[in-house]
Amino acid sequence: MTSDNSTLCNLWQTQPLESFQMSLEQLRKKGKRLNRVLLIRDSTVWVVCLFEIGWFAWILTIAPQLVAKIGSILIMFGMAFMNGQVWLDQRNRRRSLQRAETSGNVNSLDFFRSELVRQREFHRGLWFWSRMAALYPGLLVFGIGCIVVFPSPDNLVGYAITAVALILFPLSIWLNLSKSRKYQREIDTLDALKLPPA
Amino acid sequence: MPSSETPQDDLYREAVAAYGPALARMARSWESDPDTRKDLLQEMHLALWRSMATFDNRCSLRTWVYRVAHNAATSHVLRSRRGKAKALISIEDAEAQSGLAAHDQSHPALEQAQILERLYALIQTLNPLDRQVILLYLEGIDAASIAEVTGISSGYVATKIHRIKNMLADRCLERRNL
Repeated sequence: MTSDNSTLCNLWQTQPLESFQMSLEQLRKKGKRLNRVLLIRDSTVWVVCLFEIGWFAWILTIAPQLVAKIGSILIMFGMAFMNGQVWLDQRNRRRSLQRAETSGNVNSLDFFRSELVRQREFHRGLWFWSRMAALYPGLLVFGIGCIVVFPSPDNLVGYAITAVALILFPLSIWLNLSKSRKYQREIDTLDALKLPPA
Repeated sequence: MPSSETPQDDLYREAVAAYGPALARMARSWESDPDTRKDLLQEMHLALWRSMATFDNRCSLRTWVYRVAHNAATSHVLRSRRGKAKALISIEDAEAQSGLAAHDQSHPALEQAQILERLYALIQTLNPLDRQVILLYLEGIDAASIAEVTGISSGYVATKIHRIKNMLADRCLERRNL
């Protein structure tokens, strides 16, 4: 088996490869282009945020009821907060990736682990609960406000928004926490690999 | 050589001269689609070139190159995993599934290209860390150096290599004609 595997290693190392060449000039250009792409990606979050705020600001101006106005304001703050959090997460990820990707002092296990930790934290703890706290009260107040002001059974919008808020809230908690548990299991597996086998 | 070249550029050239083919093999193992593979290889080279600005000889050039390339590839696979929700498995799981990898009885002998194809298919199912271990093993790197590059304890590396050898013999070499 050992000689078979040596033959396999030899086959692996001598396999024909597609030609690939990248000049230093091309590398520099790609580096600059990548920075531009990241800048555009960051800006997209804010464009989406402005659109959302604009939409609810418009609702704020046309809604005659106080409760709908309060709901709109809460949603605007919630969405701005969530977009800010997404932007911060992207920025932190980019910085840590740039640091780690370009540092041979970070071993593969630690790099993979730090990525999993970052993803786990996005789905639980302060980040997650503050996102929920910022977004859902507005949605709920807005939906309930619509129902209170127009109690007709035909008021589908009000019922739909309230139902979405009521269903999404526990569903989001369940989905995010189960995702964070999945990441934690992967992290635990990696941590075990740092120690000698039992 | 242009006068604008820096020590970073020189180190990058040195690294590519020594490990360029290994990077190409690594990219092929991480990405089966040719276009995406080319992008990945460019990303690995870009990360390597950038990294050379901070190379401080605390580890060997080989360890540095493999770590940087692997970290760039890990980012790539995590990004694509988010998109495709692709489940990646460990060497241990892959070994347990080896019985499922039925050998194609219609071909009495696998050609070398088929062996490589099978090998790539196997590697692409593995999680990033185990992928790194098997790739370094195939590159002929010894267990102690694999432990240094990956950060996995040398005991676990030895265990994983043992499993890799069994798995490769079972999946890729049983019907070989090398």
